[in-house]
Amino acid sequence: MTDQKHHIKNDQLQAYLDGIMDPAAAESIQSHLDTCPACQNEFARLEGMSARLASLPAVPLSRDLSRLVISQLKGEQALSPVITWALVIEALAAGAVIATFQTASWPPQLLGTGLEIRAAVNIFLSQLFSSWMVWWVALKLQFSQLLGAFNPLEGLRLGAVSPWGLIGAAGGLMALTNALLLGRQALLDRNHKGSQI
Amino acid sequence: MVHATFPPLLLYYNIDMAPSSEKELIEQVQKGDLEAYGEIVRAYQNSVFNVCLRVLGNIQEAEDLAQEAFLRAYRNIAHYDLSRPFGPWMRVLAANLCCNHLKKARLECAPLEDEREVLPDDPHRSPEFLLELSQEHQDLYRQIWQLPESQRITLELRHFQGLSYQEMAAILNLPLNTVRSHLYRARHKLAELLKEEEGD
Repeated sequence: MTDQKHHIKNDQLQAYLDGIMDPAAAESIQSHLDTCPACQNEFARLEGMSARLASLPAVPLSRDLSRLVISQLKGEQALSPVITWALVIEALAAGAVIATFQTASWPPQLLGTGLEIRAAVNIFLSQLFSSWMVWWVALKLQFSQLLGAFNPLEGLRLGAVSPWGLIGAAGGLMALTNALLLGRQALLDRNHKGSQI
Repeated sequence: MVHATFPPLLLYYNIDMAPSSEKELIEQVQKGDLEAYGEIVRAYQNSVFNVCLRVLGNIQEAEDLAQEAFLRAYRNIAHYDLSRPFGPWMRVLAANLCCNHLKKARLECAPLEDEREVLPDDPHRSPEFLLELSQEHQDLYRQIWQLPESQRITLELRHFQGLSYQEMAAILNLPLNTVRSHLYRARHKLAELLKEEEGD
């Protein structure tokens, strides 16, 4: 509602400026504007500002983004096979270690020495850690597809990688080495027992 | 007869690709053709970069966010509706990304501040990348960057992307009245700043 005594409300003036009022309301606003210098002045300022914004020229881009975008997308596509192979190698390594113990004697409760039991538990934990490491990387990349928050090829920005991820990766690597060493030790122990029998 | 005083924005329509060639390219992209996507990026990179620049007020951040916007668009290209023009979709995606970027920066860097304003050390000095523009346009850019974030983003979505109030409210996840209020304040403040500038 507008008349000479009451100026046009801000939201009404804005709706009129945007041309989204129904014709009757717009007619009323126009009538008020025709006779109210204060509202005329406010409307002219807003309209002038809109016109200036519409004339704002674009700032030229200083470099071609297409090459960067495409090379990054190519890198992401190339990573999928890397992850697949990492998982395959991980599964093979796990299988090899388990097979080694199964040929030695399994389950560990039936083993003769405390060393073998400890080795079996260590192997199990090591495998858990190293699997977790690989799955962490895989999941992180999977999330990056959804969120775009992580990009391992983006200039190796360590800030983008969670410290937990780095700790996990280091822990997993150490665990894998540990597993291999313990596996070797268990084999030697089994051979030693075999030679005693 | 009452006419609409603020016509639908035509700013980008003359620089976007022709719909037929755009659709053809996007179909190729959806089949995994990265070279076709390169063409799409080249066609829209300037307008997307300018969206980011107006919202962020920082050229380096604007380039990074424009790049990120194209990466996200590619990752979601399978769900893209071919009946809609790509340019507006892409620019709204970029504006939304900038908005989230500003929110994140505010949460991480300045939790006690209400708004992260892009204020140059000297408000009358233009950054180097603006120097090729006329003095009037340099002033206008500087005034836009002096607006608080919430006002700047509504101004961008309404004036440069031509979104309705309802669309802006949905994107910004804000009540309709809040969006109206931000937009009015942005317009009012910008008009005041421009008047002050003219008076100087």
